[in-house]
Amino acid sequence: MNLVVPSFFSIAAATGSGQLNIVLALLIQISIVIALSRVMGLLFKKINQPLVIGEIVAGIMLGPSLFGLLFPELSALLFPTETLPYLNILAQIGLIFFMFLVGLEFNSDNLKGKGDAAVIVSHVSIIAPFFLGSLLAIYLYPSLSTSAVPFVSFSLFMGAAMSVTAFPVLARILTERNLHKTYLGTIAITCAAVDDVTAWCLLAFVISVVRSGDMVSAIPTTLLAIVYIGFMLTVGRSVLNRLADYVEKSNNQKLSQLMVAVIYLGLLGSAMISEVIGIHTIFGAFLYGAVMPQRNIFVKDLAEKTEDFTLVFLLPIFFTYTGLRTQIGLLNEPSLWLDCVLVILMATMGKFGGSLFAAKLSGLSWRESSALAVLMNTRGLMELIILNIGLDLGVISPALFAMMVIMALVTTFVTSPVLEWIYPLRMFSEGQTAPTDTEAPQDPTPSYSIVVPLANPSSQDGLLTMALALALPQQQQTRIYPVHLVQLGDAYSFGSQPDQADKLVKEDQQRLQELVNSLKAPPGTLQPLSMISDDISHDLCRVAEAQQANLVLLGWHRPVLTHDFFGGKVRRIMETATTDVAVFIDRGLSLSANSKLAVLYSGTIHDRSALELALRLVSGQRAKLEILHTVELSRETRDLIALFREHLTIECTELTQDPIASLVEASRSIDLILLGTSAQWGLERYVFGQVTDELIVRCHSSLMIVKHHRQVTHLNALVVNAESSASLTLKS
Amino acid sequence: MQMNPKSLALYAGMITFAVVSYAIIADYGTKNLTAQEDISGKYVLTLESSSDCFTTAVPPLLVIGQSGGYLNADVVSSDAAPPVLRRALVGNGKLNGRVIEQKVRVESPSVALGSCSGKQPLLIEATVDKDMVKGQLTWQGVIYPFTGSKKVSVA
Repeated sequence: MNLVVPSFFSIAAATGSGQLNIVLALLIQISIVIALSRVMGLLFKKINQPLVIGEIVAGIMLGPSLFGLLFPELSALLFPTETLPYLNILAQIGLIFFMFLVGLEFNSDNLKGKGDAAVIVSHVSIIAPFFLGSLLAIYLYPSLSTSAVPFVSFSLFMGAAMSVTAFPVLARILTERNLHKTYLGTIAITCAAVDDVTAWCLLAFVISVVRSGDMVSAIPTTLLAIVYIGFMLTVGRSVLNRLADYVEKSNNQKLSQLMVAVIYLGLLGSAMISEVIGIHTIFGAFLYGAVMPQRNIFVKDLAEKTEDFTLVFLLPIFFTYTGLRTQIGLLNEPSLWLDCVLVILMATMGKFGGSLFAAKLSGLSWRESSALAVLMNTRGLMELIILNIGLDLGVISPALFAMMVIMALVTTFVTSPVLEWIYPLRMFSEGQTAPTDTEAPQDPTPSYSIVVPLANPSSQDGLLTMALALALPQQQQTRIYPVHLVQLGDAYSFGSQPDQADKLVKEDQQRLQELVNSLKAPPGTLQPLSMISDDISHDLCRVAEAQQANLVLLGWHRPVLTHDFFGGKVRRIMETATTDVAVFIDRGLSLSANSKLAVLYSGTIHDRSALELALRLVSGQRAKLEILHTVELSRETRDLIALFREHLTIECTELTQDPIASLVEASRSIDLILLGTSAQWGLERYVFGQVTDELIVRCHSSLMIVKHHRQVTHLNALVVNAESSASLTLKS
Repeated sequence: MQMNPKSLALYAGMITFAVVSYAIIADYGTKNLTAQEDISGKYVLTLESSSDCFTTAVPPLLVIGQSGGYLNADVVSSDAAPPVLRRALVGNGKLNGRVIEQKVRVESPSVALGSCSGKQPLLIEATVDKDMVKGQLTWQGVIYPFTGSKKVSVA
């Protein structure tokens, strides 16, 4: 690369003007920035960290702290100083639009009726870090500031910088964990919203003080800012409401490009006014977003139109610009690292400690208080925004900037693992109210239950019909849980905000309920569940565990299996589920008394489970069953078959030569073949095992592949019935 | 938002605490704390004895980046490339050290100087006062006394 890039730049320089060179350099920079931030974001997602952490780390990696340190010449070549002003302009535009989005998602309804706990915690979570931040300024000012910065400006800035909470990151963590509807989640969102508004107002005040030199000189700026806030809350909101009315009355009820242009012009105008007043552009952008009428068309449409370009293109540039200014190498003395540790400790003590004690005093348990305090300690990119302003204004020095960036990273990075440690997800789920509990059946402990994940509309009817067929022998005591998990999009998006996520789940529940109503099932048998999930496989297993399911019944939508190295979610569910898993490959199956089912039996425990499920199906349908065995049936299996043979047609056929070809041929006259996964399925690159995968591809009938998990049986009640009455009690 | 009197009192109490405590901290800090003088910038140096590393036509520059009492600096030719001229100002200089009461001491165990090839230890001890700098530079065991003045344009 060292050879290629210089020649590339020299060609550009030789063929065109310096301007062309800068454009090319910028394009290369932005490409690198977007690619690396996405890669790092995804890597951090893999370790259960918010995507934004990865993006921030990517920015720092590209700066002098890593890339510049390891490859100084290449770094200077790829990020020449001449291009930095252009990157800065893009970053500033990105910030204006990002702060507009933050304002858009600010919903004052969050503050209504949340009780004393929210009010107290939110204010203490600002005042305590502000107090500790300004106290820390006493220690840091002599060593890390200069006489050019008045102490008042320095201490005010330190207090404000310590007080910030990253509302978007916090909201995302809560939504991903389905906590936003819990008492704890509601308080956290309220507190973060209050913190957000307070922090930006505080920052506006700090900027006016810094620019004016002292508090008295800042009075005109502060008064102008208050007048502007008042103007936006009254006149601005009224004008925007009329605009929203106009949009809603328009023919297609969508924001036209002309309307978007008008709104963006307003945004830029607000940013400019706040800059002219003497606060910062971002405050005007935030305020403009916050006074937007909270109507679905207006806010949702606008957010969706704005967020992709802002979050994918512009925000990573801001992170990189921050990274290029972050010199971790400046902390080159032990005393500086001790100062850095002190900054992290004071920031955490203020935010975590303040929130913890305030929440405890408000009546929350220690565990809940700790969880809330950890969430409030998340600073994320909001801190970076404040820090960049501080560095631009010269209030903080580069070394202190680096310390504060590390503090922002540490406090955000620890949030997810510490939250999981203090308050594991299972504890939240225990405390949560399942959406369908109001329709709970009279019998709270069903004798048999099936979890049916529904992902593909084309297969969901077939899956539920199969689940009902499996339930048929004990319909009254069986529960079927059709589950649909709503996956949120990117790490930060308007749709992933708690209110929007709630709407998504409600719409989803409605769709599921309509599907359930369309099926003929006894009341209470089908109990749909819908929830947000960040990890589909993991959450499905969690649902199955919580419902003590006997079986997870999955669909399969891929046409070819044999070269699938990973098997996707199905394989992960099979690996982690603590119950039996059956994968149903539907090729137009319609079960009835005339149906013919077959079990391929080769003596594994998975085949045994497949046989049990087959017996359930034929018991319910009174259909025919053929057991195609490649090994001799065990005595236990023979006894089981004998028990059911009294009332069912069960044939046993030994497959002697080329079992695969025989089964493929037999599948022409069979409706459904059940078979277990291969014994070594987890060790191979095949999803279910080599033989099973081959059969799936070659067989003509529908198939059900079963993976056994210990301690699960599908026939207990049926066998008891059969033994006690000496005949099977079959309900058809 | 409806608030009961107890919460209102607590709310008022917290605001009062924040304002009063900050007023005390600000008052204490303003009266009792002094930070280091701002000495960051570029200083045009005049070496009292000639050095092979610099010519008289292109005098050396001492570029100082400052984080309070912590410094990083460069000694470069005044016709060096802009990134080199600016790197110490953004905290990426080759020399590190401290300033205590306007007395500057920055050093590097191995650094090139001007047009001289090879990296050697470099030590600069100087006093900065009202945009003027006076001190000595030690490189390859030779001491070069110097004086200098701050360039008006820092960009």
